[in-house]
Amino acid sequence: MASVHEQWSLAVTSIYYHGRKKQPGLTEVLDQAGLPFTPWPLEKCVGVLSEAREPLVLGALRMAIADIVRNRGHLGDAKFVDEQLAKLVQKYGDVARVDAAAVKEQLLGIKDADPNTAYLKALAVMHKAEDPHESAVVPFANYKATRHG
Amino acid sequence: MAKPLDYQNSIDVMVNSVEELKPILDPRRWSENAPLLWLQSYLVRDERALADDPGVAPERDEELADEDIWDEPRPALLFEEVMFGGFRYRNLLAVTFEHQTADTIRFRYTEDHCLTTHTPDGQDLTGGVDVDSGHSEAKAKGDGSKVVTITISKKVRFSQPASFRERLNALAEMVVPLALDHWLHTVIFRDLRKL
Repeated sequence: MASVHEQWSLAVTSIYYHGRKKQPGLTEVLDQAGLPFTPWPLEKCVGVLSEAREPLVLGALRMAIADIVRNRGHLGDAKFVDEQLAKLVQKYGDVARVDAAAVKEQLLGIKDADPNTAYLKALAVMHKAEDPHESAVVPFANYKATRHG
Repeated sequence: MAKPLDYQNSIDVMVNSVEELKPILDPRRWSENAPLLWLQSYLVRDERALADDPGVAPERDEELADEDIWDEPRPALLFEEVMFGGFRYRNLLAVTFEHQTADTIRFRYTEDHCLTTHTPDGQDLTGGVDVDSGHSEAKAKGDGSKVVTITISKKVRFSQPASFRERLNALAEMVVPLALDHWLHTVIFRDLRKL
């Protein structure tokens, strides 16, 4: 039986897989049939994270939510993806004790085509929601993820 | 043989000083800061700490566990146990900490040797990673602002299980970005609720 951290790790890894499998340059290497592990369907990933009882799942929820927002356009049926995102945000709201409805609305409003911008905005939404000081300025910017070669 | 994967992430953060990022960048705390991937991470002084059986974790050096390593940097070995996709790698990295300055913290790592790979079907194999190097850096912009640029990089290639080496390196196309993002989340959310 996998530990909860292993289950969360598999859930988040699978979400990263789904977000990348149809991206130019990665489609061929991420051939699901040949992978040495079987990515969980998005619905299962969301289920595992949403049903977690341990508050430590917060980090995994942030990772999952931010990556889904970054790659929403690559994840398939938009209505289904938004439903899954909403489930994760509901759990995130419970764990982080923030207004899930407001966070969901803001996350679904992120439409940037540039994945780095979308990712940064998703992080900013969550950070601002959790900030106990309600700072006016989000204390980070200029996220950039680069793959060389 | 597959070319090593090579990724780099960066972000600008506002901090009072680079000092407060020391515990975040410290590889001794990877397992605490990034538990989705790291099961264990700690320094060992040299290879004499290794057991004859590569399946046995090396002896933890308590002195190195608590030391302010940036204050008196020294070469050391970092033992890490990493999990992803049902695999577990027990790996030894040669790490180099650089003297902390008022505006920079930096450490580099390179592969010393991989001890074992545990596969999802229960096999324990010797080795498993033949390239693993990178760095973490927090560097103040130096423009009078409180902005610090965090840069983290990783170059990696997996060699075990040999029967699906290429596909395993394909899997790393998800795991390496995930690892780098995990670090950045630790930086970004460091002051918020610790649960």
